[in-house]
Amino acid sequence: MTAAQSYLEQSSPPGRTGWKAWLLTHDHKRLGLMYLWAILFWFVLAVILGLLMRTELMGMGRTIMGPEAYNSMFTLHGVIMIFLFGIPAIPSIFGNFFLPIQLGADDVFFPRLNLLSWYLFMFGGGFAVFSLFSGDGFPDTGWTFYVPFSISSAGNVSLTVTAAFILGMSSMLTGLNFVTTFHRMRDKAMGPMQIPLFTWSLYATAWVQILATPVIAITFVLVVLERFLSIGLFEPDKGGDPLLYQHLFWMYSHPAVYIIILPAMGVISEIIPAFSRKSIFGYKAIVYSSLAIAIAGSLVWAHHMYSSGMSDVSVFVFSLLTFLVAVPSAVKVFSWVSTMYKGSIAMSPPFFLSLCFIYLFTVGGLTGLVLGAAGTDIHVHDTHFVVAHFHFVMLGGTGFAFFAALHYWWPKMFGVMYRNRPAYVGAVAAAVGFVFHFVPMLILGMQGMPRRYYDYLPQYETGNFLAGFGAYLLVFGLLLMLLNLVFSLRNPRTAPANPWGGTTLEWSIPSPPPVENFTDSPNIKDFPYDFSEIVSNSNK
Amino acid sequence: MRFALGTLVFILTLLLHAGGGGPACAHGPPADGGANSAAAVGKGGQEHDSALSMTDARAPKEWVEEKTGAYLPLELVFRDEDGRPLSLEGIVDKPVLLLPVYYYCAGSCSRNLANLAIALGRLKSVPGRDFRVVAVSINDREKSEDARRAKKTFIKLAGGKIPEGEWRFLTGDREAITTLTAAIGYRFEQQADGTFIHPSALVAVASDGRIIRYVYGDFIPGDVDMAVYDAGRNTPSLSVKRLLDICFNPDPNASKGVVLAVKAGVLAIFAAFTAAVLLLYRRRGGRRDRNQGVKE
Ligand code: HEM
Ligand SMILES: [Cu+2]
Repeated sequence: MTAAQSYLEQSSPPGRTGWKAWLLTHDHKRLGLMYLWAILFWFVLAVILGLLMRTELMGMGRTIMGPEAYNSMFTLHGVIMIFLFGIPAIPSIFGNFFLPIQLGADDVFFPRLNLLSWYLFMFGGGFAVFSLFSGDGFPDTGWTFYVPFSISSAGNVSLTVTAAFILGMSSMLTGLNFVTTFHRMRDKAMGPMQIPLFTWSLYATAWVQILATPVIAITFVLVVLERFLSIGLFEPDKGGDPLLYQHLFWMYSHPAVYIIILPAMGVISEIIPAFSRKSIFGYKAIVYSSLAIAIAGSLVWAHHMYSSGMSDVSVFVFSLLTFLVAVPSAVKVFSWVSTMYKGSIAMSPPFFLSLCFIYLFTVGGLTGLVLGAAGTDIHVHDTHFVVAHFHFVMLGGTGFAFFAALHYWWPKMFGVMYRNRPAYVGAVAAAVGFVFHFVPMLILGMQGMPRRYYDYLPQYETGNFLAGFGAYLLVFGLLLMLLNLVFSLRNPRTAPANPWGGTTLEWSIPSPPPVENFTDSPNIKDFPYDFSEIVSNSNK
Repeated sequence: MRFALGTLVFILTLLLHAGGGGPACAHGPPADGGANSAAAVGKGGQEHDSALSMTDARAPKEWVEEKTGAYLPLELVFRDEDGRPLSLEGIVDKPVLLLPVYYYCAGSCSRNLANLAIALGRLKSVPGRDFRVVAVSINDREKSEDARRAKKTFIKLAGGKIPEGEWRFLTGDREAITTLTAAIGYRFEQQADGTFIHPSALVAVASDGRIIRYVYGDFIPGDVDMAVYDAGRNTPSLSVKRLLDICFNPDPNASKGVVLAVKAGVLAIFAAFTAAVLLLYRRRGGRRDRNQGVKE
């Protein structure tokens, strides 16, 4: 097999050339790359916004921007990071590319629907950002857009909800494709307990997504009704319920947290065994805990359906569920660490980034427990403690897993190897910068510094100033890693089929893969993480 | 496939169970008069509505229209806890946190007062020295006895963090109330059962009566501190939009229909979606496999 026959040269459907070969493709791999570029664009944009906010916070009072600019920036940063990075990144890029391959299939079940999802994503993303700029004044309510603040003050909220709906549709269709591919396209020889963990995690996520998206659809209908007919759904003086919107919003957004974190855990479950040269410890436990997280996520959701408003009972149930979700998460961390134990560790950038993930995600989870304990929550709620906590989960967790996935699968996707040294330097800078940026934020939050202010009381200045250096180091590291990867595209396509010694199916085919993925029928292992062959080869 | 179906059945069961349960009230205990339609709006707030200059009649009216930078009418006279007349001039001589509520509220007023009382104990600034708190009843039927009783409760809750004279509980006649609320852009409406619909917001005012900042949500200590800090420097500033809590006496039946419709809608979409998937499976003729027949 020569590189000339890879999916990068051959189009699907065949015969398309130039831009048509990309914009009208049915190939799940090309779509994965198209998502990659779009999502990287949004991510870099939002990272720069984050850095600008931090720069403003480095000095008391007005440093580089006033309150209006700051408020619109955290709104934009939040919207992009949640809807255009956190939720779609891993499933849309790596899921699209690798889920069919890991299942031994030649594409997803509905290739054209897959293309449609990409267009919905592009359209929804543009629309989301456009909606923020349209209307009378940029919304400053944060990414949660609380009605009645927003319904009356900013005309653009209906547009933003529309955008969220379009994006929700896009990820729901992707989820649908994953579920159907999982069931209908899987190689006949592959039983449920022979499926790679990344694919399992995407499968669990897809169900949560399919469940949650109807809520945003209904919210969309309600907000539009309210805007154009003024029937007073959210207006208590017209018999409406002002908390209805908030309620629906969290019904969608609570599961979104699981949608953001589950695929990241799937990535780590692939990388840890590959570089430990050792079968994953507790494969079944990881599968079941993925499903457990998905089910717990759905329970939170069902609980929202059951009661509106936060009565004491719902606060209790919610706290309890938050604690319960910690159990399957802890099971995974335990499995990863046990896998490494006595493994023959081969250090590499993706493995290093996975270690960062485990560490940062664990801290994020522990701070989450502090928040989940409803009592303590009151002290720190709406402070920088909360902001730091979800950055630990979303950037330290999903963000680092995203970079680990990039470094793990880059050679497979593009057929090129990247330079290791800049990757290590970037990863270390990002991890160290992360800690120096977000640990001060945890402390400031415990001291009572409220979130969403461009300014603060004098006693918070030192902490905020020091955190700034962490942020610059963090962003330097992230950009260095990205640039290193992008520059590697100029290298010759000489990546071997299996540069890391991975055992799942994508490593059994050439890099980059041919259009049809498998030219011979895939050789399904009894157990997806069986390293005996790899180890005996390397001992020869 | 069997697994997927199992999940589906499980979820549907949950949902149906959920559909049967009635919605709990939005917040606050349902009051005795709950059966009255919440849609019936009393005359209470009508007069100052026009003052809020809403041009488009169909556009939803703001509950709070921030008047940051404007000045309070300090000549207004209210009654203090002992029924003596008290002009705002007499108490706005240092930064003031102004909180419009009413003392016998079935909704979130007492929770707001309690949140504030708790926050007072966790501030960086010193209550009494750096600022004073003024609660004003928006209900012109409330008497100074009601104010006195409320004061006792919440001063106690603040646990000695604020000197008694530094947290005032005022009552007033309708004209003083509506002039004040209009000046701070605060809309409230009386319902047929005598309760009020009103937003929960706190207004920080500088010592010269200038409106500095609005505080929303649960009155977390950090927010209160920032408001006091800005009021001390007399710099009007953009408020941070946390949740805008609307205090009202919920009619447990009013939104039941909407909530049920929402649940039915979610179920319907979910069902339609599942049906579409099953249909598509059929049309595809089951398993689409690249190496169909190649392997067992
Ligand atoms: C280099 C990386 C990042 C930096 C420097 C950064 C920095 C910040 C800062 C300074 C704030 C505002 C805090 C406040 O005043 O309330 C913020 C808010 C936020 N960030 Fe990030 N962030 C980064 C990455 C991320 C990532 C990866 C995500 C999610 C996937 C994320 C999600 C959010 C959200 C949801 C908010 C809250 C916005 C709101 O209050 O509505 N951030 N971030
Ligand atoms: Cu009230």
